[in-house]
Amino acid sequence: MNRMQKIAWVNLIGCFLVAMQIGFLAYLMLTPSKVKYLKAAAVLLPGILVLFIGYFCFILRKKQSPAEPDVDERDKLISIKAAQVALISLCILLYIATAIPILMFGIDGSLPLYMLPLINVSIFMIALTIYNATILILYGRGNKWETRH
Amino acid sequence: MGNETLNNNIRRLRFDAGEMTQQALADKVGVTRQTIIAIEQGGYTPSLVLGMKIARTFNKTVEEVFQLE
Repeated sequence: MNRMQKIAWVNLIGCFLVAMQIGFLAYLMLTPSKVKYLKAAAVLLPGILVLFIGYFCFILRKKQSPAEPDVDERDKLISIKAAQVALISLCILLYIATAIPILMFGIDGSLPLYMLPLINVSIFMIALTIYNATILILYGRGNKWETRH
Repeated sequence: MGNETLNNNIRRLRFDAGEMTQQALADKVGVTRQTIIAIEQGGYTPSLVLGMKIARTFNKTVEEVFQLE
């Protein structure tokens, strides 16, 4: 596994952990229960995230060989392709995210302003997930999309 | 674009060159080992510069290393 694949895995798992953390916090906010283990989980999960990122920072420093470049021409091509896919997804997601409230609340409906940054962050997280998943898929496919002459 | 495929003899040339490892070749041409694996398997078409670097490593011409069929 090269550096870009490792980074993609870190981002994917990181996004998953952040989403899980947000889910836990939302659950705690919505249910005023006194269950202690849920609160403990709300504290533990960021800790796990920090440990996970720290572990992968350590792993990323390890190279297969001292002469190995951080990024080569194939990595750049895969990164560009994944960015294109993520950008197209971002446009589609943005359209869907703005269309859904209209469908839900009608043309004259209203939305609390705090929802706007939440929608933005959610779309960004999904696009980041798509970007990293695309990177891993393209590495896994052996870059067959590039072999057409 | 046609249906041509780019074949290569890198694997054989590595073994002819004293069983050079994929990592050693990758280090010599400045790419990752995964890229060498992808090229050998025909999964990735290298740039002209990288192709020439690989050929130069084995003291061969580009045509001796890569064949368009």
